[in-house]
Amino acid sequence: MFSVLALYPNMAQQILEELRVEPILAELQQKRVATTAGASSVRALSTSDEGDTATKASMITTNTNLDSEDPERTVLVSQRKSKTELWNELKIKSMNCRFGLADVGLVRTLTLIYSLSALVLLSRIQFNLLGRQAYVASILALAPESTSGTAPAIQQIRLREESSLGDLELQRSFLSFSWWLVHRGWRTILNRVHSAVEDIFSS
Amino acid sequence: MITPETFRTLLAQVRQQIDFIPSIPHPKPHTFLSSLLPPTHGDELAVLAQDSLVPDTVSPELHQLLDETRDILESPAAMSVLHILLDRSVEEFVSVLEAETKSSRDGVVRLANYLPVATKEAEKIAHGVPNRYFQVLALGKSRER
Repeated sequence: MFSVLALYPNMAQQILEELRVEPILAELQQKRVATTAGASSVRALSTSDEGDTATKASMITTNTNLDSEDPERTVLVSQRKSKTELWNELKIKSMNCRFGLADVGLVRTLTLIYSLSALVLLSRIQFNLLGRQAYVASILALAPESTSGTAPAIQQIRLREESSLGDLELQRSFLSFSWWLVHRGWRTILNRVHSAVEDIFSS
Repeated sequence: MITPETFRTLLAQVRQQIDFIPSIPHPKPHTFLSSLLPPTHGDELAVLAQDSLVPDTVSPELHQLLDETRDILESPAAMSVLHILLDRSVEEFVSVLEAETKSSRDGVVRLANYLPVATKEAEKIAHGVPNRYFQVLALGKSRER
């Protein structure tokens, strides 16, 4: 499973780049900081019970530590007006994404999960096949050299396996095929995940 | 507004649509074959061209290994394994969403509230060290509560 750990970060990074929501959240954060400029520590909290859940979604805590002598100051900001502004900002920003804001987080998380699961499955199959090949080769290597008394089927297997015995080149070629999923295949997974999320969550 | 139960139901419908192809009398599992391995010979050559240490042609031995891999990937056993892996990792994700997204007193959640948690979780799936999702998938470890 080492290969999965080695390959996955590369694929995951491409998926994250494709569906970036960080710039949107950073924009939100900047706006939040701007509304309370001067505070060494800014914490936006809702004072309204009803708006609480929505506010948490856009709650950004920034600790700039500009003045370490000041104890952390918590600034309560009325969310009622700025929250709407911020979410509108988010909606406008999300126009730059290929997908709408509501499902972008879900699409990208599910794509990461599907890609990781697919990579685990593919790697297991690849190593099982190579392991079997090595096992057969090792058994045949232990068998008597004489082929006179050996069944023809065994001879055939021996011939086939000998040609690839210790064939690191073949192994390397075979394993290199995970490149497809890591660099191309995840895009078709993403498209499938996206259309499903859009169909279900927009209906 | 949405309840966690409704969210789970919707997610199950999403999974159904991703994992299966409508077919009569029963839906068929989607194999993801073209995502997992290059679908055409040209694509195979494009893969080999990426690694300068391997030959740029598909030898008969390699062809046989790739065919065998495709056969396994399309088998019902491989589909079952994939669905088990997905069940585990999606459950991990949903349990984190439910645990970390605050719901109101009547137990409902704004769908948009899942976004920051999902975003944070995406980073963990992508770059977490140790990667909990990898542990769940490869080692069968379940979430510690």
